[in-house]
Amino acid sequence: MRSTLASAQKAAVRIPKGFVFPVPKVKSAPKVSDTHPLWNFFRDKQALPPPSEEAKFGRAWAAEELRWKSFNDLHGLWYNCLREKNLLFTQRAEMKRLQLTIPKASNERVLAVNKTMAAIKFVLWERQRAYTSAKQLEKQKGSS
Amino acid sequence: MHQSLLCFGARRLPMTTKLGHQYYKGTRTGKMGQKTRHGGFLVQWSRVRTFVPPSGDCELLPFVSRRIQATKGTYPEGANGLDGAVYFDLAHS
Repeated sequence: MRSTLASAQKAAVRIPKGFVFPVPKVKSAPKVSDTHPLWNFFRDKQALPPPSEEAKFGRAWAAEELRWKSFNDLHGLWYNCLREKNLLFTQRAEMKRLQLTIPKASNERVLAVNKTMAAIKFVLWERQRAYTSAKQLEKQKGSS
Repeated sequence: MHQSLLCFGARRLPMTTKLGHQYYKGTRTGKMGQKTRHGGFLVQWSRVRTFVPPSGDCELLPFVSRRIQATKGTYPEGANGLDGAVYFDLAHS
């Protein structure tokens, strides 16, 4: 019995003498320039800014305020909204990766951005409608 | 007597291309050109989706300070917001 146990213990470990276990290579982080365009997806180059800072945001634009803006301003504002949206979605993806709870402020921020974009679309639709109606009016008044 | 739908071979799964007559399921990629006889590809640039970014940086941001209250616009009586008549008068004033 003892000899059986001893032989089993010997058979369990069969590492040859002087064997060196392989060590994985340590990969250095890739160097990224400070002006890389993908940094636009992060606020101040942080994956997750402090929640207290993210909770500070204003309200969405109202349609009446956007009516006074030019087409170029609306165009630029639309793209800034897209950038903000991309930034927020990047943060949410990071939170999901880390299995964190997405705070309410993040959802409210996205809602505010969506409202601003909806207001931009509404104002553009309104101008288009007014323009087509005015064209028809001009034809009527011109003919009469 | 209402028999079970299983007797009629009912399916509750999405259709495959093996089931329907001339059912093309597609790949949702669209079409932006044509293949040539010699293995090439002719791009129809009118069908390629393009984006026009704004020229220069815009200072407007998606949020407005909560201290600023949104105002309501004033329109002449009978106007349905910014409609054709209002636009016409603005254009001719």
